[in-house]
Amino acid sequence: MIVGKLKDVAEIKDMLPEDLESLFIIGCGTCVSVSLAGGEREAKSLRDLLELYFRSQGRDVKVNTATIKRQCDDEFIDSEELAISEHDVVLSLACGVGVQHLGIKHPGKMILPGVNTTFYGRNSDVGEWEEMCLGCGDCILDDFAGVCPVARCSKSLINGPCGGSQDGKCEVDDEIDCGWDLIYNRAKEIGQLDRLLSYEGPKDWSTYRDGGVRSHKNPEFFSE
Amino acid sequence: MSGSIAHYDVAYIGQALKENELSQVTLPASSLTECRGEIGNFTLSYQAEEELDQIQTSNVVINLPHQEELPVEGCLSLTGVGDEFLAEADGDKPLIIIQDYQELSAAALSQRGLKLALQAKSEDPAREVYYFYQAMRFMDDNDELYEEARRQEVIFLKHDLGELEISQDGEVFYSREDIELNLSGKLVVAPELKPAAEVERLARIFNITRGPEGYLQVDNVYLQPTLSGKRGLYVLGGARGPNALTYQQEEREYTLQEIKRNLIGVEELDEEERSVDDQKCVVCYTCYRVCPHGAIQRDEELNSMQIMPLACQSCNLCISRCPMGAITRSGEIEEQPQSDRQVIICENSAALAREKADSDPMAGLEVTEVPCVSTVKKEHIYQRLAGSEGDLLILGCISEACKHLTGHDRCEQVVSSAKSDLEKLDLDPERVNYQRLSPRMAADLSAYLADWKGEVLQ
Repeated sequence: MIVGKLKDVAEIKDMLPEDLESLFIIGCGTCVSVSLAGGEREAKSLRDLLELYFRSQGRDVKVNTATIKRQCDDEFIDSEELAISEHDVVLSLACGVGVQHLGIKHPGKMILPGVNTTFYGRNSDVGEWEEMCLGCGDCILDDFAGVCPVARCSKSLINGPCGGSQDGKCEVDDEIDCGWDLIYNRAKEIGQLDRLLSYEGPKDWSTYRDGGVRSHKNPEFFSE
Repeated sequence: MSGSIAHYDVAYIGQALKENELSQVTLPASSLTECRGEIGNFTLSYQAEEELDQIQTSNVVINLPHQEELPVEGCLSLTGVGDEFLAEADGDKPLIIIQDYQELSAAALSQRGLKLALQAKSEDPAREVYYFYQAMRFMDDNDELYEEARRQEVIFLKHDLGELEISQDGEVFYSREDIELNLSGKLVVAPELKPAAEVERLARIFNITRGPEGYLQVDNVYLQPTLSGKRGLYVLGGARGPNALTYQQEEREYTLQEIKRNLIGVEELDEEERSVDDQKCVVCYTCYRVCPHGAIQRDEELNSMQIMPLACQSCNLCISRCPMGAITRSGEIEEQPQSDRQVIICENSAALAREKADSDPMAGLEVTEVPCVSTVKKEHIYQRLAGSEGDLLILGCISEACKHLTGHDRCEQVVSSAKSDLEKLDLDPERVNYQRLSPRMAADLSAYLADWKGEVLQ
């Protein structure tokens, strides 16, 4: 799942134009709702907080909210077209995808991001998420006992740990588990330690950002 | 799966209680895979030989033995010595009984120790019996056993931190004031009691909160003696807590009485209806995870979360934390009060303390009583502040007396986050205050409110 984190409210305040008269906060009802960053609850809380702030400044700014299922699909944002047109600025609480999709659909409108899109991760506890995938475009989990060296080793090493691995922790931060410690332990658990002995050649990063902006088509939807 | 599902009055996870009136089934903790439903109609899935099977039950009792750890490797455990132990060949050696070696032992272990000491003396009055303890714990006839043991010349020696040491080869060194002893003999030590095996997995299956030591009952006055946070689920022995051995009989009787009462009929705890809008719910499981009463499950047909009405204990925590605003209750008031001195109080603590106070400490304040302060949403706080120039005070419960277990913590997290955001916008965070009380703190409530009113007026 795409994980997000609501931006610091001071940063949001600073990005709003000084002559703002109306603001439309749009929550997104999928990934960022599940990661408790940009759903209806956050949209409404932010509305009420900003209203309180504008009032303290003696400014009369109209703040409204709506939360739609997914900001990354046309069909869901169509319903808010009129409301978007009636406000000066839109603050999107979607991930970076949703913010940009709104911008594509509303070229003349200022669309601001209210959420930092942090990573692809899993829910590890109530209100807590961990990065699991980098979206490199070439999954190699089968070679590493199901633990991704690209996302879960801070240095994305694919031929074993660096010298900074100590007691299962990463030298970058001792709150971070060493990805290679996890790989080793899981490979041992499932009897695949021997697979770690083979040398991995350099990873082809052309499927990641190094190959430029990515897009793909599902062939079942296209004729040659 | 079997075709028809058998329904029992009670399902025991672990050991069954002796009781003939109830229909019952016993399942090993390791076989259990899922619990759905609520009091009166739980469905338990479990691994039966080669396939998954299910039973239905009105009540569940988790009754598992503590795990025991000996403070010194290789010595004998007080819970593990049988009748034959004293008759062994080296019966001429001193008997050394130690309790409270690293942590205080339960009263039931004192009882075992005292009985063992007396038995040794009765078999051989000349045998030296040493009994080391930090604090003798009393239950049943422990005081009589203790007196009798003293009469039989069992040597009781009190130890404190660092005064007693057991070496690797079982020698005992004791040093206190003018006494120095170096003993060897038959050494029997009270084990340290730990939560039963599997409790972590069971907590997940039943979706209940574990206490800091890992037991399935948190330290809370509303849960004594054997209630869990989930209605119809009772915890005994090594599932309940470190002192569960002390009042075993009473706790078993209480549990059986509760079960029988439940079988007569169980009512919803609140007249308000809480419902989940299945079109808004994103199945993020936040409500399920924060519910202190294990009262929420996923409706598999609608693919939406659902609140189980008998299990729900009406705290509203799910409502205030739902990221999609998908959960509503029939009595919810959207309009927020707008006076200059507003107080939100929990009906289980501040409201009761208010009633006990000599004169109403909340006179002149706009008071909103809620079933739990976890009802408070962040947006409520901002709306109340926007509606007036005044302050807002929220009065929650102290941890051990919060009827909704984690409700006060969850509210404090919301208040703290709101205050932090106010500060970031150069708004005064001191306009929002959070204080914890117990129902008994009438005097504290009056004093605190007098101070708060004074500050607000200034």
